[in-house]
Amino acid sequence: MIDNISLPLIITKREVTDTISDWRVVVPTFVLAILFPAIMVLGIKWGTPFMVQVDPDAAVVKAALFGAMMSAFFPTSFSLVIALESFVGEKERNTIETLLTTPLSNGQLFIGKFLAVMTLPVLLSSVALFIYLLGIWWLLNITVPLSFIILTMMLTFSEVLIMVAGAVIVSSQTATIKAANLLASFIIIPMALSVQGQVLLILTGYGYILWFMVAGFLGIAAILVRMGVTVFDREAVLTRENDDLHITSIAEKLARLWRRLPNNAFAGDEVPSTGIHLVRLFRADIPQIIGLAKIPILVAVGVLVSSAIMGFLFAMEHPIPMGELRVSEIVNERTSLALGVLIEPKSIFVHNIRTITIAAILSIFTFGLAGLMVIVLTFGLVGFVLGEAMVAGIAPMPFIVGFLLPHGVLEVPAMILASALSLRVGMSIMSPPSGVGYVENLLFSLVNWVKGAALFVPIFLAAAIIEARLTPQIALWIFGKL
Amino acid sequence: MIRAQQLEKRFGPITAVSDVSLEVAEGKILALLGPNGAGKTTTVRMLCSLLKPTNGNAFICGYDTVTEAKTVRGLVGLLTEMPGLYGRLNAIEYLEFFGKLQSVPENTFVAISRRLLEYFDLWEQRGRPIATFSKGMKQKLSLARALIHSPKVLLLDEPTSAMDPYSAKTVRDYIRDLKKDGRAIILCTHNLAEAEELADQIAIIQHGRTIAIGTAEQLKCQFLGPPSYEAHFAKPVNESVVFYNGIIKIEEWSPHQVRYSTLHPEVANPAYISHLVASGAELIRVAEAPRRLEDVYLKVTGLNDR
Repeated sequence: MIDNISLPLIITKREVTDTISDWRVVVPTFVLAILFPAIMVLGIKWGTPFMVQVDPDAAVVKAALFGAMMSAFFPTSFSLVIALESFVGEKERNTIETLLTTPLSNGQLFIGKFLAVMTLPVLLSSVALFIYLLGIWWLLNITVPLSFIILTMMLTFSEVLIMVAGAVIVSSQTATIKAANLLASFIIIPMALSVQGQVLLILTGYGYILWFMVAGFLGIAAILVRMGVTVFDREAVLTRENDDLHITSIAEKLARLWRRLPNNAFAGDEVPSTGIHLVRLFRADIPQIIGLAKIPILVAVGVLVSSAIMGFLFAMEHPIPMGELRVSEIVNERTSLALGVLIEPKSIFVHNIRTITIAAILSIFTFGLAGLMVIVLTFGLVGFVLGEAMVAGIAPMPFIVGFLLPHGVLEVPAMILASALSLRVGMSIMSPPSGVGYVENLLFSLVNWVKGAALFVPIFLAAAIIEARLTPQIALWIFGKL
Repeated sequence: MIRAQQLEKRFGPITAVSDVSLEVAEGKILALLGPNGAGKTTTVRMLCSLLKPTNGNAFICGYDTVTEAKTVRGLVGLLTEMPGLYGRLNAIEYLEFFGKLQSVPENTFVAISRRLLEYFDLWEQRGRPIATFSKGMKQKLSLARALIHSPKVLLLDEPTSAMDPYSAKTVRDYIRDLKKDGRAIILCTHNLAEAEELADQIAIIQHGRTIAIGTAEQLKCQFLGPPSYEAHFAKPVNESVVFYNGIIKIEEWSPHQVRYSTLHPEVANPAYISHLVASGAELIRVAEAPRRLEDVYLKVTGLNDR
């Protein structure tokens, strides 16, 4: 048990010592951890007269909180550099194999390196925060609440966790730091966006939402760390001799995955890659893709039902006052729009395709959540409207039959399939099959999404035509009778 | 101490090792030869539990390299082909780091590290950052690192490739000492003279499979035929003197020398020498014609025919 932690700590100690003996790290460290918080404090001090003019009560306090968060966050940017250096750098310098010959388990090696990478950024971040808090108290007499300090530290910690775990995964896909740096943008961009979001929340007075963000970050970090532990395997580390990130290599993989049947996608060269045609696509490829996406489809259906129920229950708890809801107006507006004044099949179709495409792309960065959000938002709203309609005294069945069923019969399965395939896109990087790389599995899921689109895009088109042309007529007919 | 049975390793569609079997006993050295990409490094990595075989199995001191990997890694000292070192550490810190990871007790470490550094002429340089070492010094330090936990099994990939002749000799002498000490050693090398000098057995690998294994003499006999002998004369001799029917085969001759081969040198050589002397030939010397392992290697691998 002692060996379990003492051996990894030997690695941690060496790596931390190595990092702090590098002036390329020490100089920016000093700037970010000591000078930057001081500049931040002075900036707030000098900016106070102007800020008070904008918002006498809260501006300075908000700026102080913002400064605390920035002071703590900036040194964490080191974590990515150190992590890439520790994992892919060791490989590039050929020192990793020697380390792998020691009796430590893969997990112990991972922990030793992970702690080494975490230590300095977290420590620096704490120092920077301390200097900032001290400065702002001394020069401006502002005391940042303890709860916010804890929140900032937890946010920082979870962000470092995410960046480091992400860097490990990135390292597993590359053999050189240069290639790893390119892939690291997949970590930096979402992280930068999230920091902007955090700042916005603080400045708009919704700082409490950051606690939910911490919880979300820790959840994501847990997933990433688990992935990191999985990929930090002696065999995987040693056998990745070349970068698979060349455009030509990716193009070749895409072409092979496109030509192959999904069930044989990762088979050896003994399985030929034959040309794909429309009949095979619908007879073999798409049924196999649906078969492979059974669980995501079930998840999508589950999310659909629960979103609709949540929307419905929300409507029950928050009914719109009867005076403000005029069903006749809804019907008239709806039908008048649908009769061709504004809504055309093309605009419905383009909107749907745009939404599911963006969701699929965002799924890569959100582990598939973006794909499910399409269902959550759509059916949450459907449930809500249905609930409000019921509160307003409209019978649910005519509402469903009039407004939803005609095009929904087609649109709902298409949406479930699209969302399920988007979910698979997001999940693909979390658990590739044994012997398959993350990039290859991601490409496989994207190819499957495109092949699946051959089925759901025409269905969306048919549904759009029905929604624009037929649904309003049916709704008008039903509600005209009512 | 080292036993591998029909090792196979595939990386996706690529087969790196398809059929490698070998055995190295205590106090023996096996040289593993083969062209670049033949599967030597993959074989070594499987033997020291860095890679799991796709098929077949390997044992180090009786421990399975897959199921008892941790124990195996404690018993093996590996010198990799391109040993990367931590440039900011000095020699002592470097050995200390790996000594601790191998759980070498502190007092043992002090004695072993000093002995190794002194032997490899690095003791005086022990405080210098490794980044300032020459290639040869780095390689010697890597070898010291592989030995820091006194492993029973050594897997050495090109141990002298970057060294000057003196350092290379020092290392070869040390390898001999290790052999005497009862260690089982696998030596991957492209230096065939070194292989012949050190190894008890030689295995040649190509396209991931063992294509020849045996002692240097056995391999020469097997692939180059029976040994040849050369007799040199002080004065010219004629054809009737040189030719001797029966148990020798004349390969080439001139008035001053003859080259012949025989399957039974213990019988044929005394008889032929007696015949030459009786025929009036003034013999200067009779010796076995030198045959190089390189010829065996080139013949076995087919590289000679290119």
